[in-house]
Amino acid sequence: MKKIISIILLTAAVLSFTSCEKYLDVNTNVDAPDAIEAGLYLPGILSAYQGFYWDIRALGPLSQMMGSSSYSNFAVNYYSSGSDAGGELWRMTYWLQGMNVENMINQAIENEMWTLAGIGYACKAFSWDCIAKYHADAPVLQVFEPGRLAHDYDYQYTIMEKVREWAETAIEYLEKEDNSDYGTYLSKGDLVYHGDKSKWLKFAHSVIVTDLACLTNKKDFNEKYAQELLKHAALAIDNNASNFTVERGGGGADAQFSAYNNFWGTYRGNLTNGYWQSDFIVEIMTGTVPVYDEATGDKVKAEVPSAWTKWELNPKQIICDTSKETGHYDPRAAAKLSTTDGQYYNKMDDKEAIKDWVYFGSGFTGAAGPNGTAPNLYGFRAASPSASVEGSGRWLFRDDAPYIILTAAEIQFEVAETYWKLGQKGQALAALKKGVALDMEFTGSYLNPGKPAETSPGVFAVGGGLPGGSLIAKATYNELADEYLNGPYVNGLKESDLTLSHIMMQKYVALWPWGALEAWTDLRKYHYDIKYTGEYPKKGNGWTVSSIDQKWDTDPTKVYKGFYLAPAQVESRRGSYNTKNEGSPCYRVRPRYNSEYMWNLNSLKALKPISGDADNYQCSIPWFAYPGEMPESL
Amino acid sequence: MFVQKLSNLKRFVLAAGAVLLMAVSAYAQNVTVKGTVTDTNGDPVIGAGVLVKGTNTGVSTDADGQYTITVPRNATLRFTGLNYKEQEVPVNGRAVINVMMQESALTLDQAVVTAEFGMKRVARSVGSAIQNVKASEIAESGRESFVNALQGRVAGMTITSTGGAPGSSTSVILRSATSISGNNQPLYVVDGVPINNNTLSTQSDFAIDDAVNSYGMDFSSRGNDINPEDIESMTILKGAAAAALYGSDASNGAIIITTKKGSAGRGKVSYSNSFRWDMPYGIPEIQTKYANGRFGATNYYYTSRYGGLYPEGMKLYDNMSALLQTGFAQNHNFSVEGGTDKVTVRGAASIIDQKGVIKTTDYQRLNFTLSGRAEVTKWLSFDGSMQYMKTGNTKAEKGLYGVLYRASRWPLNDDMSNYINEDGTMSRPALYTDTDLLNPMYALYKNYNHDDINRMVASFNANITPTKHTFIRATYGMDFSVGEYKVYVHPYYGNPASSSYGKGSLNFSKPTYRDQSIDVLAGYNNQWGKFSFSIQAGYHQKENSQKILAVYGSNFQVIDFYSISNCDPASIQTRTKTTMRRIQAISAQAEFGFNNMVFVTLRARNDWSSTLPKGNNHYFYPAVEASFVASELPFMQRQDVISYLKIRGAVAQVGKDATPLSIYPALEATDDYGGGFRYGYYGPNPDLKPEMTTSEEVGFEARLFNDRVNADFTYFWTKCENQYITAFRLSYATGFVLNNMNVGTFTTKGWELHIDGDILRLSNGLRWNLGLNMDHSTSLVTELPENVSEYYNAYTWVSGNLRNGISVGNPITTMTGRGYERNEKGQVLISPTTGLPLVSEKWTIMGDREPKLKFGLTTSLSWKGFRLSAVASGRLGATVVNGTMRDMMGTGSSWQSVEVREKGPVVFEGILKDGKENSDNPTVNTIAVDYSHYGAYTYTGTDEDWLEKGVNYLRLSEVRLSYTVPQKWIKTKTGNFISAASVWVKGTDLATWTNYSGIDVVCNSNSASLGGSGGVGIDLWGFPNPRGVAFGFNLTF
Repeated sequence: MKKIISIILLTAAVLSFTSCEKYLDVNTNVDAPDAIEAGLYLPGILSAYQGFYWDIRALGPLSQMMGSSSYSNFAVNYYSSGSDAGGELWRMTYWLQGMNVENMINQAIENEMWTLAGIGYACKAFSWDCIAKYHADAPVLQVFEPGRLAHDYDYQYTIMEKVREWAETAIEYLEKEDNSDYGTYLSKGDLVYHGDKSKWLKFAHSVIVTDLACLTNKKDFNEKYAQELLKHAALAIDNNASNFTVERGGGGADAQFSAYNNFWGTYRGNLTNGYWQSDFIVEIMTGTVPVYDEATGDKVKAEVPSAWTKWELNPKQIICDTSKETGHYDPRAAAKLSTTDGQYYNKMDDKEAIKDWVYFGSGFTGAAGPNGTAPNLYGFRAASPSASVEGSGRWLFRDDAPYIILTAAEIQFEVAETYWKLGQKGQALAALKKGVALDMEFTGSYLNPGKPAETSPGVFAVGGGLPGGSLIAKATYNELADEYLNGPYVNGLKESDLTLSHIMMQKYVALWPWGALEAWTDLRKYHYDIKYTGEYPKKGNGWTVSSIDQKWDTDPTKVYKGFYLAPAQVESRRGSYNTKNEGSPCYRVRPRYNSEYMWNLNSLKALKPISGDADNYQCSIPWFAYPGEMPESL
Repeated sequence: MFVQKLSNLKRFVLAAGAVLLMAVSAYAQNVTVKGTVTDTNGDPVIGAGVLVKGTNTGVSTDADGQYTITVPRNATLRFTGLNYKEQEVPVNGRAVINVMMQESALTLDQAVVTAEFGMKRVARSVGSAIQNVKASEIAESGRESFVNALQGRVAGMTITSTGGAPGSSTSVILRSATSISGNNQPLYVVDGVPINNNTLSTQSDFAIDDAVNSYGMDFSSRGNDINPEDIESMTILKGAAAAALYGSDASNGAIIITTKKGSAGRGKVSYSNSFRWDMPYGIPEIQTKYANGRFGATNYYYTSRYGGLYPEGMKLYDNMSALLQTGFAQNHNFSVEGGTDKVTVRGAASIIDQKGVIKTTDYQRLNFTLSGRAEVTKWLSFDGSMQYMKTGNTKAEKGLYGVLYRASRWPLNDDMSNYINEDGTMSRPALYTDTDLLNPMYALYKNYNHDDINRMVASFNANITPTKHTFIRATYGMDFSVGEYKVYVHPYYGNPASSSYGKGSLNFSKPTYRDQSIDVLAGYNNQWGKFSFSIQAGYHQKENSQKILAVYGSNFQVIDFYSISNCDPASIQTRTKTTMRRIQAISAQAEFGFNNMVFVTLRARNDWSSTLPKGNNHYFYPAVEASFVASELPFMQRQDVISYLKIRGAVAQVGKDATPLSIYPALEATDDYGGGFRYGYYGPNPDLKPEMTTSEEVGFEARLFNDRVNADFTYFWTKCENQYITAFRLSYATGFVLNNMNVGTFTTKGWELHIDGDILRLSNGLRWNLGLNMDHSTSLVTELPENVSEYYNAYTWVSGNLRNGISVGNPITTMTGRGYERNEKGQVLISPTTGLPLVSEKWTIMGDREPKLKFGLTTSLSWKGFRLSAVASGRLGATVVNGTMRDMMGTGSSWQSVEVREKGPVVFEGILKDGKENSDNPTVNTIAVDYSHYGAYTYTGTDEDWLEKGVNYLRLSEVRLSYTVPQKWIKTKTGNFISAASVWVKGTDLATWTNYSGIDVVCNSNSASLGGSGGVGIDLWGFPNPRGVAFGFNLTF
């Protein structure tokens, strides 16, 4: 008996151990793949760019493109403590794209799919360029190393250098002959250019242009960066058909997933009545920048108040003015801004009526502005928008609008600025004109004119269909656009009258509001037009704990006419910053809280001159805004 | 006449029972002996062994202490029982032998503990802490879940029920947690087969992520499916020592359950029942003084109660009570059993039907059991059992956004119980112009949260004894279940202004679990003089398979019809989730004994797991146990205070594998336009290692004063290394948000004490016994990666910024939160502009939820047939998050908020944060703030204010009075038709004494499905345990 049992046991043991490996090999996922073809990563990488639109909720208020009660911490140049608010670009670059881009690039190179590898590098370069502009310093050299839990921070210049290096690699791959069969990976999966390699090449060059463009305040810009910028600009995005825009499916409630709709559309409703067009953008786009009494900071009352402002207007408007003469009116106002006028959609082709529409901008943290209450961004009411009244929204604020990431106009303004720095005013003016024309076309192309209402706003008895839409007809817009382009502010602008303000403020208008990051970068580069002596402002030289000394609009060196920060003590922009700012405006957005402050704090602490965990880290001036090198300590 | 009828019935029942019986062979030269084994009080002794001396044949007594055995006429019967003196009685041809057993220490240590795949070990040789719970106590507790019945009865066992709703999940921790993020529940072993104790995950087991709030829905834990009536004995193995045999799943201890297999002798039919009424208890009171509004002005646009006084004569409704009803539960148990000393069989059916105290909630359970054992040949015996269980559970949403919360927000001037309009839509409160308030009554009647489980647990054991000193035991077990979980939201349950209104949603998940195990043990034991020796070796194989099919749909076409086919096809999403875990292991054990006084046991096990990377997939873990029975020493035998004293110690190590699919994350289809795939939150970890827990313990067992007092004490300490943490948060610079990693080490230590004794033991049979269980444990996190300031589970982040965060240098049961901002001296800083204290931006440790002391009290008073027993459990020095009161303070619905509001201006104690806060002359705050002018939400302080520390409580969980009708009397009266009868009446959770001000001290904001310390100790609109009154009777035919 013993023998038999021993034999049985022994056999069982032997059998089970020889088949052990096979028996245990059950740890594979049968419901989802852990490896895919490179091309399948692409749509996810591209649609992740909606992260921009998330963070414009912080950047809009920071750049004074928007006022916000929802992200009011950013509107007062502070941050949301202990929160991931404003951390979406981080999430996008490091995670949503992150390893997906790495895998795509590596697999593409392995399979000699050069176009796809080039696309990967271009996206990687661009996303990190945004990280550098937005957060300034961030980990880049040590990222994605397996097993590494703490990541050292790299300073902005390192990241920006890497960005250009990756963009060059992208160019190199995109220029290679590529006979790979991509199937529908590019024709469908490429939500930006549908596999048009030439456009990707332009984009890769554009990444280098915008990366260098933020360095114009550097002492060595002209000698070190300007020519490289111009070289790439010549090969960069040069028409609106090559703009970097990410397609959206739209569909409102009928979309299979809500993310098919634009983050700013009415269906997802992320810009409910907590975000408005700012007083500043309304002033410059309608030519109503007021005159301030430089002794008190108060606005000067107009002798004859108009319908939309009781203040005396600055005679030197930069974008346009309130004159009814041909070419003085900028129709981009009717396309971009919201107004409570024209809400019956029955004056969409009435040029004169359109010119009379009144726009109100908001305060920093509330809808109420100095002249009136700003309406919501979707249509024409001050109330929360709803799909039943505003339909699927208007212009870029609609469910099926693509995400606008980079445009030809932006590149032209950067070219103009570079020429201006180089003292080549003629070329600067030419680029400026080209830029405005491109933006005029760009802006008009997203118009979705609404239908005339029968009885009251949003009630459509005849014809049915969705309510809402843009308030101006396309033809009317084009007519007004031609007039404006041929008017005194664009083609009529003389080289002798050209100022940096024209270039930067037209760029600001063109970027509104989708390019808030770039606009904020420009504002910081010019130190918010703070009045200081020496190389850069600091406490006691530009601001005190309770006030900021800002250049008056009459100062010819002031770039952004009409722009005032909250504690600059001009009327209707008065306010104060969080005490932790110690009077300083915000210069960078803190890294994502639940990534860095929770899990990488030690590395963050090592940053200089202001440590990453300091109360005023958000005020630490980034490298690009210092004319020279960054100080080791302050 | 009546008796005659009964006899007929009895015959019929017996005949029916006989169908279930296997062939029974009888021997002509044998005699069938039956009888009842009682203790000195006349109470039946359950599970006593009745053995034929000199053989292995035997039976054990049933729940009524009865046995039947067929033996040779001249045999001698040996009666043995846990805690009783052994007796030998010669049969001498008698047919009835009733035995009264003496409780004694002399044999107590000889008692065997049923453990380790049904292999019996002599208690005195066991070196680790073990506690047996009498099956009768569990059955008598009358709880639907046997787990809840253990509360207060076992030292070192912490039971946290998620709430008082029917079918609530239960979180059980033995000693202390051994995992920071993973499962800390003990292993449930039924007849040698580990069973599944899953709780459905609300986060990932439905078609869409986080389909249901983890704090809103509680899916019952599968351990609750076991019918308490089927349990014959239960042994609690604390600590990691259990793992050497049951494997790593037992690293948190194990609850070993042996089910009844029927007893030999006269066929028997039993019936028992229970009827219980539950009364809601502890529901927070809503203030009836101030109406909705803000700044003291009544305005029903606001849901918070910061308006003016309610106008006199205004009818106010008790909307909380509208949700409640008197719960009712009934339970009926039938069993049929019989057999011979060779073959026994038992069939049982049990039904529970419970209506909860929250309207529409219910729980049903049906258990069918068939079990038996047979001595097939001299060298082969076999036992097996099959249990079919079917449970149904309808539940209400709890927690933040649960029905209690929603009722608290409903304006008092409106009768919430009129929840439905004529057109079927949800009624809105009068005077309230907005449409965002949801009527919880509508939720109860129109939403549908339900689960149905069909489950089969089967086990087969074969024992082979090839020679006198060897054995082979093979066990196969299978636990198979199919669940259907439904969470349906009615289309009209929502805000008409929202885009999802009128659509409704349906979440349906159908998990199939199959757990199989094969264990083969072979051993040899023998004795040479004073030396005893046994060795055994085992092979173990285990498989846990899970297949989930889940579907989501919305946009119902027919409003009141809940079916996936009624959903818009474009809205339908599905998920399949398939995981498999397999383990192979070999084990070995050797036990040496000397003189019945010193024992040493060595054990080792090596596992190969499918869930770990190939190079790291096996792990070895040894254990050593020793016991020394000091009372055997000659000098000890000369005194009579200590009759038994055992000193024991054990060191055990246990490895743990990972959860399946932890190594390489799957790519997820994007739900974004354009499709494609991308990584989810998880990153890969090809270097995953098994985690290791080393547990050490020393203790003693003693019986004093002629066995009137029993004491058992254990001191333990544990080191948990290489902690396998799921969902470990990372810097995004790793490319991922979470990973499964081996990080962290923590230690625990503590003690457990059990002491019981007969306070009274009078000659007239009066006996009063009092027992006390106490335990205390602490833990200390000694190591986390340097970049980690805190580890927490985000699902516990439900009240303010409090969450179950842990950090190095602190226990693993801490809560972190954002307290007041303080200056260098620790004084609270006040905002110079608002006069309110400033809140720190940093999360810091706020408190430790582990109580200073946990205890349970058991007592029983018996006299003749009467028995009065009670169980109470309590805690001292606990920390509880009072999220409910915090919420009510904010919204002004508690009386506490009225008090604060009426207090007038307050100057918060602290220092102004004006730049001088760290100087020698800081500005003391003098700014008065009036709560009543704070707006629609009052100031609720910070997280610090809502942790109640030093919470003590005592809950009277059971009081029971039973009367056993004298057998002689009942037999005579019923013509032997009824052989035993008892009646009882009982109260459950009758009273709680506590200094805690919230709903329930023993609470869980989430459910038992959350790993680590989970949401235990966070009180946020949970359902308090109701008060119950029950009665019932037991009959044996």
